[in-house]
Amino acid sequence: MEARKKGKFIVVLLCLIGSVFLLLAKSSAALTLLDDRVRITGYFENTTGWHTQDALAADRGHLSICRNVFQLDTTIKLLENGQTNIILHNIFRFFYEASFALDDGVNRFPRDKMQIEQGNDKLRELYLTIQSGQWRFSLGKQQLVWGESDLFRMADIINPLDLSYNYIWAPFKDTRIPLWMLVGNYTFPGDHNYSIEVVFNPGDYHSWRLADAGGNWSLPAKRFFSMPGFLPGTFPGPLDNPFPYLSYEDTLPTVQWFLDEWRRQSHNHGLRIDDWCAGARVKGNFGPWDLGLFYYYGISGLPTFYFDMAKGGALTFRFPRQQNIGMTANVYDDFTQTVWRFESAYTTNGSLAAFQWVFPPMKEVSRDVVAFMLGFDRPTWLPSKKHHWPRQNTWFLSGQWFQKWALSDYRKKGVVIPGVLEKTTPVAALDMTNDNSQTMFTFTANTFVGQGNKYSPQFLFMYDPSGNGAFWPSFTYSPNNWFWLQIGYQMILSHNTRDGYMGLFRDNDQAYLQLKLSFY
Amino acid sequence: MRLKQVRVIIAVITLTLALSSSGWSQEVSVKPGDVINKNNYQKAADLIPPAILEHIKNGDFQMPITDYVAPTYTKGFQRATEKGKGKVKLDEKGNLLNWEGGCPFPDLDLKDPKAALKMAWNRDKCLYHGDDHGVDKYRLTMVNPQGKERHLIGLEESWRTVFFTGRTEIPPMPTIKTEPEQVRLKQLTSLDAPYDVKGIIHLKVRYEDETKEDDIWMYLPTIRRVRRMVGAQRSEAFGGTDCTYDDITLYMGRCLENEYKIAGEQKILTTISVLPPYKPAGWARKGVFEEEPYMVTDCYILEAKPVDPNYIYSKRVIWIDKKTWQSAVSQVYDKKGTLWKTGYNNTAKIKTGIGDYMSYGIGFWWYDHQASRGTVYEQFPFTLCGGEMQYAKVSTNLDYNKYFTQAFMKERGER
Repeated sequence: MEARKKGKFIVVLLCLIGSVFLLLAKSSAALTLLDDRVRITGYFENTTGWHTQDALAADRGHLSICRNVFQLDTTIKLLENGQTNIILHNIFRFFYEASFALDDGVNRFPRDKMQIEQGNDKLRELYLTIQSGQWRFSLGKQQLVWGESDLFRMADIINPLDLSYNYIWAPFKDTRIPLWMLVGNYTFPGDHNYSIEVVFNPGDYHSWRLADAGGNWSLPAKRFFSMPGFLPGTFPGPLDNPFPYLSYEDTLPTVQWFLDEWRRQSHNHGLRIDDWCAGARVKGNFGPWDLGLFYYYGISGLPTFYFDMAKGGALTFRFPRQQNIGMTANVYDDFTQTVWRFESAYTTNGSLAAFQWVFPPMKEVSRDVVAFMLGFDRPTWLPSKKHHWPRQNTWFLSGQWFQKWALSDYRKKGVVIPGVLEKTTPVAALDMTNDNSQTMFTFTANTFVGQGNKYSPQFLFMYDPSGNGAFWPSFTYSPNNWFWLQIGYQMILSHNTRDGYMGLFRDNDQAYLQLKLSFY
Repeated sequence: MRLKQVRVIIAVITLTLALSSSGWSQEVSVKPGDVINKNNYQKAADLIPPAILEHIKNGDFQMPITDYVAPTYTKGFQRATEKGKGKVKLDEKGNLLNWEGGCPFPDLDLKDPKAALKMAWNRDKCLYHGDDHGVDKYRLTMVNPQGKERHLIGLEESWRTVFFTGRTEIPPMPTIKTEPEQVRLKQLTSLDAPYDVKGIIHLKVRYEDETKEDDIWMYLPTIRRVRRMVGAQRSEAFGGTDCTYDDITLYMGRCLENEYKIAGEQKILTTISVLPPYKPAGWARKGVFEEEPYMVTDCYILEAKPVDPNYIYSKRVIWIDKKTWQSAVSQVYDKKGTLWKTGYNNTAKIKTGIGDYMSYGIGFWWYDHQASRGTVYEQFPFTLCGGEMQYAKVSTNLDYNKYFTQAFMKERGER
């Protein structure tokens, strides 16, 4: 009851904050100080979702998320003399997950963990940019994005991801974990826009952040024991639950222990020079083509794990070094009126944990991985009898084909890391056959309707030929400069719980409403 | 008898001249100092497009009349025009040959079979913005049928354009050579407000080859990187406004994407030259229609029919100032041939970076008659040290190696 009262108080407080924002937003003016040298903008956002299926345990109808975010973006011009600009950027972000306080039916297991784990990014980004002539430097806590892909990360690997609160549905700009690094860029004068960009991370390492056990998008919670290749068909019972004698709640402490060990053993504790990372990218225009080559020496954001017999069989996590080499390309083709995009990467010394039928049951194996993405973007007029619809806007159609291969033969070895490689249906009861490739297709269609882009419908499809995918329709309403409302449905499609990126989240469909009030 | 014959001849000549299509024979019943409003709109009925006249009749705004002042060009532009007289030609596809700046066909003969296309080229090349130009602050205001406004705003280094051909002010002239294709212009546009578009940076590269589509890149803050875009959809709305990318400055599309016809001549009221005293610094405009000085402008009427069957307009009509070839007013029609929008242009005299003066496009507005709403573009004036009001920095030798790079797009987008 006490917690319920506190929760209601917080909700009322959030409403008050939102109202203040409403007033600020209606003023339609950024906060500026010191003769426009300091500019402050920001927003208040609430995302509330409801389970429409019993994902983990009697979830249907209960809140899946009620996340409240308050973000302030500040830029401070330290120098601006026509030749050189020096600007300090920072983003403060505060969040509060209110679902636990508002809905007794929400699994309360991860409540405190979530606030602690996600609450340490209040100073989300803080970096200084120096731009002078052909040079640009950026120093501080920031995001650096390479690549041509939407969603697939072959070149966009510098910042790890926080998938703990909304899996893949949140934009990467909100889920990338900013890191302290130095970035330098030089663009050569001339017609080809040749540029070289170098990045150095002095040891600010973070592993990916996954949802805590029992959380809305908790990866291992329900299906930990049925992840690809892990003891399939070994025990009686349906493949979805090889431990039918254990309840869902019984598994949570074990899973949370696993995640806690992961975090304890990762290096998310300030700068360690041993964890330095570095990379470079060169780009240029060659006729109609934009081409780029990149190299990044980094540390895997996802761990391998095994039982270390030298330490008495202790569960041990390792965050292996990886080398990533790749290329990007895009070209506009006038005949098809389409932009074609390409991205590929070769990852060397990638390590994975694999199951084996001898003791200890886990061991590390290394493999090389190659992946590519081929995509297209085509704004298209939708004809109708009288005129196009919408009248003055195209439909933006975008599609991608993603393909990944593990170059070592993992047949009969098994792979534990979920979502990375697909698992085919076993031929025999003890068959650990593992497919060593992954295929995914995505398709997005969106448009804007009305003056000021007042309405925006969007559809996102994802399809994995192994039999899983996602469908995400949404509709956005923005009647003025400061109010934005989106309604949508996140649907996971899969015929089992182990395939691809989506299988593990089968039955986790959610409807949501997102409200944003911004001021500029 | 002889005197009678002379009188008849004079009468016939007078009548012939009065009935000729020459504009100067159009009787003008307004004079500087008049204010055309709902009480006297009839006297300017032949000077205002009927769809706009309706708004005056309804009392939405009024038109104070002032003296006509022709937009002016720099001395360099005028020298280039003079130098090219008689030398500039059209090839078999309609491209310009031997053009190195200025107005290509200043002494246009209306009887020339290619007069319409030549007029279109004159309009295109006389849409003059110096050898480069930079706008810091601008605002696009969308006004809905209820009069409520929403804005798109650029606050600093908002427009940066460098012309690579037809240069008349700053060396190298007339061309900055580029490889492998000759670039005509590069243009960077920035948005700073509202929040959901803050940081969007648009880079356009247009080529001299009229058959080659523009190359476009955009820095998108939502994905934190530069994305290649399709340049073909210039008939799409710009940022949700009532004007398309091609509607900017009334027509910013490619010359050879239309078939042209000279539909006549007419004197109309335009805002083609904004005269001092200029508006005070700050966003002064409210709504689409504003009371600003209008002047009787003698115009050619040029009809442009898009070659692309998917273009959203079936026809574009442009009133072109006879003296300067500047676009003064434009109307566009939908696929069914119904009037869709009317646009007005205005220029103001500004000082260039090399100390010369020229008329520079400082604003335009479009009104959508079918949806009863409109969009206004304004540039924020600023005062030079000498006290002169300026709307843009023109021919200041912008560093084209700095602005039109993906690194600058990212830096500008993150401000």
